Amino acid sequence: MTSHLEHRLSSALRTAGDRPYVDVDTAWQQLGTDDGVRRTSTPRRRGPLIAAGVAAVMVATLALTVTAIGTPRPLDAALEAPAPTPGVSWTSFTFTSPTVGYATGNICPKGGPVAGCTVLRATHDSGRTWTTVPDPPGPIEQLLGAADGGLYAVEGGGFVGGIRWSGDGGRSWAPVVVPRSFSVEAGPYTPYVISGDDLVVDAALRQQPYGCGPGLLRIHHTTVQAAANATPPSVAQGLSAGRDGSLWWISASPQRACAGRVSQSAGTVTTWTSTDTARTWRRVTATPGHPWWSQVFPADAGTAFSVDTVSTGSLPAADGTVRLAVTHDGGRTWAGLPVFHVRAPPTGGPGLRTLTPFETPRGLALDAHHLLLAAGPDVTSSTDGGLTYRATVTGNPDSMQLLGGGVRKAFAFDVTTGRLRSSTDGGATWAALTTP
Amino acid sequence: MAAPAVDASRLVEAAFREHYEALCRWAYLLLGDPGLAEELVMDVFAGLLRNVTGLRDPAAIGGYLRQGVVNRVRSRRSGGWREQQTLLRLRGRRTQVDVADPAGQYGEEQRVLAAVGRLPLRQRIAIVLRYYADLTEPEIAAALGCATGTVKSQLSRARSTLARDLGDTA
Repeated sequence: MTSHLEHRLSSALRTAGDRPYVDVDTAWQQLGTDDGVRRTSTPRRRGPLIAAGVAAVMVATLALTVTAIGTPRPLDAALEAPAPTPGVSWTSFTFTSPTVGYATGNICPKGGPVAGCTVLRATHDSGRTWTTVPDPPGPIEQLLGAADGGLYAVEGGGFVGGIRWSGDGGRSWAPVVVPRSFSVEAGPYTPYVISGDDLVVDAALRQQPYGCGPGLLRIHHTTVQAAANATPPSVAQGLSAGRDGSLWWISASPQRACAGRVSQSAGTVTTWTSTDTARTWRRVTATPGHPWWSQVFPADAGTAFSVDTVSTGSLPAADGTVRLAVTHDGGRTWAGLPVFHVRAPPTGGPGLRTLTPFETPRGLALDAHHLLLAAGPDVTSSTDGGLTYRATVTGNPDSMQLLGGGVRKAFAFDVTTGRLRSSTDGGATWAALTTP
Repeated sequence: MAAPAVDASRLVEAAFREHYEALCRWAYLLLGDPGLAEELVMDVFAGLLRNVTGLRDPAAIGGYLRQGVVNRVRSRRSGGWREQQTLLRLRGRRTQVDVADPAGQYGEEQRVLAAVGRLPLRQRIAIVLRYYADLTEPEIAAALGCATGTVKSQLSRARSTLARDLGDTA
């Protein structure tokens, strides 16, 4: 007879275990052409063994040559990758799996994304080669890949953005119709996050005067649901999503102004989390007397990092100081991590950026141990849960975007040079990929 | 006599299509990282590709794969001891801040997963294999490389711990 405890165990494990998207067909193809993406403990030595195993079976059964199967490349072989395609200004990258990714850019010489100037390319081998996807929709500001392989495109070219969804790798697109009572803005400062298969958008609820009040939308393919009833009852900003699909939300009270124009004065900062794609929210932490801006970088299983801009005012501070906190219990308690310093940006220069909740996240937690920060000119990584750090990529001031990924495959994009980089060791080292 | 190689290749592909997704899902429950779980399971299949010609009983392929995943999870965990200690030190010096959960709405799923995550690794593996993968005790014993009686005791201890942690007296 099944006890109550056993029922709880079975139910919780099935709910959690059935969540990750697994693409068997792609994985099977990947097994035969593994180039280092899927290696675990000793990547440099295991790769040849894996390839040799693949080769042995394939030769015996299909009479293919060993060379046809491919020899693993050294991890740093791509360092001399060719420069980005001239004339294309890449604006957004997304990866739906360690191997499948998409890039969109602008091919017109001037201005932002404009209809007819958009190019869309796809890779199915972790960014080694790219192919053009014909007939992209209008100007694309941002691409977001969902766990089921679907693509959401946020169209730009104006103040109000539209959203489209593609379930076939960008070959066809369906419009997502957003209720007129919501204001969806294009641009890098509007929080769009992926939670599992769904796109969650912090869309201001259109009221009078313009844009006051939280207006959370949950979009599943082309189905739009307002999550107004579940939205935390205060001005809510700072939306972020963990690799496990959990959502983290920073809200502030008193409710003083409209989205984008919230007062920076001290109020009560509240952290909310959701594990069911914004359907319900749990209030986990409320800290009175703090300025409200902050960002959370979720890892897995209740662990998240938060950057403290209360005392530094920016990420990093003018002297390079970075302060972080960590939680291991879903945000209920936070511990201050040792303060560290990164290479200081030029005072007042482009490296010194005030971190606002609207901004594209500047940190990426690959798991509870591995944290990446695009702070100052470099990408800085920690492999011990935030105890120590080291600079890993010397980029251009304030130009590195952390695109996501896991410990065995993380991606970063240098906006200034157009170079795409990947790390297969939790951010310790980075190699330049062939940019589309 | 060894089976024809072409059959071996088809055997691996059939096994991949039958087991890959399920193995990824319970490896995810043990590791908490879907990407890492996929990498680990891919490693197991890469090992199968190397050794498939030596596989005497095709019917045992499921057990071989399960054991491979369990072994890799265990070796990874032991290899990550230093990282675990780092986290323990971090938790030890945590500064308590205001905790606001007046309605006690901590998600059931999150609470159960956290409790399972605190179990010793062998107990956690046994619980996941029993209550997610629906394996029998002898099948779990084969995957863990221990006696069925040991699995029973591991499950019993785990259930006791979980009942206490989760306040489950029903």
